[in-house]
Amino acid sequence: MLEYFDPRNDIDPERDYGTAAPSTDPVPTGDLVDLVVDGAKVRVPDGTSVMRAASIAGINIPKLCATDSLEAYGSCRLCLVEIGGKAGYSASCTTLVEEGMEVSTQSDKLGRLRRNVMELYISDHPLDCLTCSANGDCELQDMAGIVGLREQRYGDGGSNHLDDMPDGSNPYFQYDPAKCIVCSRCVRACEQIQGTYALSISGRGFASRISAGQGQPFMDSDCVSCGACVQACPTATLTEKTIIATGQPDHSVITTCAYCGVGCAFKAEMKGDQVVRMVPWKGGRANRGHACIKGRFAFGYASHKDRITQPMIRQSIDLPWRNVSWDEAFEFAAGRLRSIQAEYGRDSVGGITSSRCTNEEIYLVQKMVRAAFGNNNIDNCARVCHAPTGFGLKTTLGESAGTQTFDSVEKTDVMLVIGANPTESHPVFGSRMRKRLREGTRLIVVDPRRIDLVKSPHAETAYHLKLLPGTNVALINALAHVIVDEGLEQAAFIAQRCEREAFDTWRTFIGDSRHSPEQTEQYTGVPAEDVRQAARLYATGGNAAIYYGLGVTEHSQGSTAVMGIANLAMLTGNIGREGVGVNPMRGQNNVQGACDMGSFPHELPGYRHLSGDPVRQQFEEAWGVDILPEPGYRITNMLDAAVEGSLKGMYIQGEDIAQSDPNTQHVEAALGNLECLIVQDLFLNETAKYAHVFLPGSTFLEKDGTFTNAERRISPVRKVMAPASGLQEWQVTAGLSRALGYAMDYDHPSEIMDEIAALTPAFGGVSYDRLDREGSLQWPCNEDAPDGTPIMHVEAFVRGKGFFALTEFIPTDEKVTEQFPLLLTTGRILSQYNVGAQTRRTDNVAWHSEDVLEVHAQDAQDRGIENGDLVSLSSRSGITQLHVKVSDRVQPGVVYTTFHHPETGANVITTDNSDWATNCPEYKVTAVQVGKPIGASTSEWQQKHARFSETQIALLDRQGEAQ
Amino acid sequence: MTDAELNHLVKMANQIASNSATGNAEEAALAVASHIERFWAGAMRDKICGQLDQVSDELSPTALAALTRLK
Repeated sequence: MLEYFDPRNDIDPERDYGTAAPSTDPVPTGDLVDLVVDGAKVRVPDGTSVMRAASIAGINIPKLCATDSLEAYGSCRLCLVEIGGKAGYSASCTTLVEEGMEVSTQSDKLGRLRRNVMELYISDHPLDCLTCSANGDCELQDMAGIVGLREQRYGDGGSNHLDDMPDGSNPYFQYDPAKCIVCSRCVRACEQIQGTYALSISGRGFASRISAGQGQPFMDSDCVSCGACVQACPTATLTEKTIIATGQPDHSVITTCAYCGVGCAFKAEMKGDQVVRMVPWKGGRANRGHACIKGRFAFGYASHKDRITQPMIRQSIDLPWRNVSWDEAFEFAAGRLRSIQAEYGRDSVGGITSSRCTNEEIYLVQKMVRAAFGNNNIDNCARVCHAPTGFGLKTTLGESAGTQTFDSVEKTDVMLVIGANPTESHPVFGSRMRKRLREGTRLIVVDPRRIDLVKSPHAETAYHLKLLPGTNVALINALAHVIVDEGLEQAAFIAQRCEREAFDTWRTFIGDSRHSPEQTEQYTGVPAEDVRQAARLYATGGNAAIYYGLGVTEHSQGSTAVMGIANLAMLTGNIGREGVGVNPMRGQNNVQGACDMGSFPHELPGYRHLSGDPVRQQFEEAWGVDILPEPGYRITNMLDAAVEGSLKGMYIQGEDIAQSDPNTQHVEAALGNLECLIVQDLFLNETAKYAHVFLPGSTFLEKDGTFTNAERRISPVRKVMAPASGLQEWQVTAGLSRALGYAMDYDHPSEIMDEIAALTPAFGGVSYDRLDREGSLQWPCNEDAPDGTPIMHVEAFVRGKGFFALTEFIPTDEKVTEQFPLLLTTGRILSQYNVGAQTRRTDNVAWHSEDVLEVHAQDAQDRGIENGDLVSLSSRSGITQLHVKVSDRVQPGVVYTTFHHPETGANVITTDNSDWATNCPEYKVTAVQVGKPIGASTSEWQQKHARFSETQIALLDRQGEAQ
Repeated sequence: MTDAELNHLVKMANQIASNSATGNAEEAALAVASHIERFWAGAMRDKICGQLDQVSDELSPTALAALTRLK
């Protein structure tokens, strides 16, 4: 007998139990039920299906329409069982266990019934199993074998679907209706897992067929290509084109996606050292078996012809590149850096790490900068996204991290989404939000633009507060004012958990009528009554969770807005338990980790300011060097210093600041001024075109390491193929450091993690051995929290008492004028990732081949612009030209574009304004004008950029020529 | 340092000052000085402090008081 069934340990993610567990709680809370299946006693949580109970007991009842990622459907009738005391035959997937139930899963009668069912299926299914793409992975074939089907008595003369034509419109998968058994698994996956509702069954009875959109080809429908349907399909009907082309995988490795901050776990399914398919892993606690178009399908960049796999150097950027050995590249780079430092001083060189790299790589670069460069000029790209989160949450709550797990959303009653676009930027979590919204959770969206979440199928948005860009703080203050004004705060929570004096000061501050919705309406443009109602809902609607993104941080008051958000959560007691909290949505896979690893000019690993003697001394002792007690340059300051001429050398790992950072022409001027630019990347990106040393990088498939996602979850990245360049990034950094005279000897990234764990309290309990055993760990993970910390600030805040910070609204200097009367705000789209270096080199370009400018019909009409027109977009920083999409997603006065394509150069437009506390750029507010194109099809900058790019690509092609 | 760079530092210092206002001038100046000490590179601080006379007109009273403290 299986005694107590513990799903934490007993569930095997590799098995399909047929139906889901009744609850996602790690330990079931309901009653346990005893039953007997084929004579075996089983005890399972109440609400479990008979099919799942049997499966737990090791008995796999035949099934076709059931799979444990979907709700039971009961259509295929293959899973019939006999239940003692009940007449007839019950579908085991839709029948729940009952105390004392006696189940028989096999009898002569059941065998005959199942064979008859299978025979009907097979009567309208091609018998080309040997050459079928699903051969080796076909549940229909398996079931035919299991039920013992031996004949098909209906012949092949009747009506059938065998000649239905496949739809290959989607670049990643094929839909072959001839193979379809209409089990509805794809339709249900689209609804229940992804939440897009792009698929349905058209027709009735024999005419029933899967229909994408309004009976369209998949690419023309509203399908978002998440692939959940492909994964759910039990036959060859929906199949990855890579599988059709190459066949089934021969082995697989579990790893972590390298795209957004959700950090999905994947099985990289391999043939030899080639990836044939990425399948989201059901055991992954961040994604629970779901994926998006990027993670599942967009891995082709790893083998793209543009990959550079040889180290290269050149004396100056007008000369051709020369392929060299790794050692020659290290010696050249180190020599240049050392001579720059000899001439211009120790502070004349710096380094930038990327949130796309692993924890170990990032840790190593900051170590090299501090130990070998001898300064603190180290920053990471969180500077331009979530630096205000670090500052704001550290100030108020005491730790620079989100407070929850993703699972926490299952207990949320009210979601307040501010400046985030989860269904595009964090699609897998966006789907979970949608699922919860369909269950009735109320939604408040604060965004200048109508994001997809506002109009979700079968879900309602309570309030969409369409504020003007740049007024987040005014709106957040107004929400807090209403809560205080109407006495909706959680006084007991505040008294027990927060600093009294700071709260009293803040309460007086926020109670002032200047923060009232009636008065802030003049800035935000949001009707006061809507703000009042939204505030009441947030404060009194049950468990309320805030999810926010770069629409909060990338402002001149980004840090203030984050503190305002923390204030709201403390004020209403919405922190320290499941279902609530403050959740920063991290843009890139390892933003959290890059910050954790001390890749900041003022902090050592674990967010400890380097002015603290004990902390600094700990690292000095471990590394055997002196560490400067004073902060170094942030990215923005490095660029200023480079333009000014005091910073002459940079090491940039995996970042493309010439495309991603604001005010491109300023960045270009800075890069052009450097005497030594070392770029480590997969491709000759925009930044590398200014480089003197190119160190080829390795993809996430080519190295070992860890990523830390938005819920502080540290997950393993595993090497599934050899690095194309011969070295993993950490080995390259170690090589450069050695050439600089500071040896860093590691045999494996696990040793780097051991060093991190030894020096960083929150990581004390983290090791590769544990990650291998447990899959992932959420920090803090140490002696005080041996199993990690899913929810933070449960008993007390990390800083002790919560701190209410004053959040005065100070309008940005970036104001509309007669010359620039519109506000530009920028963002991302589902199919592309950041600067697009990876996704532009995949078939994802089929969805988004260029950046377009969304303009409201009123603004378009005022300017004589029509949908699809080429227009000029200008700001005080620069001019670019792109095509217009007239859209009611933006409000009059606001325009929107993405920054995925270098030719558009959206950041030529953005300015050098930044957050007051962290210098995080104000990407989200730029005063612009939109007008008819000026002369040619591209702006002067675009032409100059194109010429420069062409020259640089030609210099790459001429590599190997003598210099 | 070019004017553009100095202007940027002035703007940053003023931004910190306006976001650190507490009603008490001395407290605010302390807060600004502490922020600059904790988050600015020494070179940036030295530069603006070194040319404080030139830019004092462009600095808010709080920013000026803070930088004078750091000089």
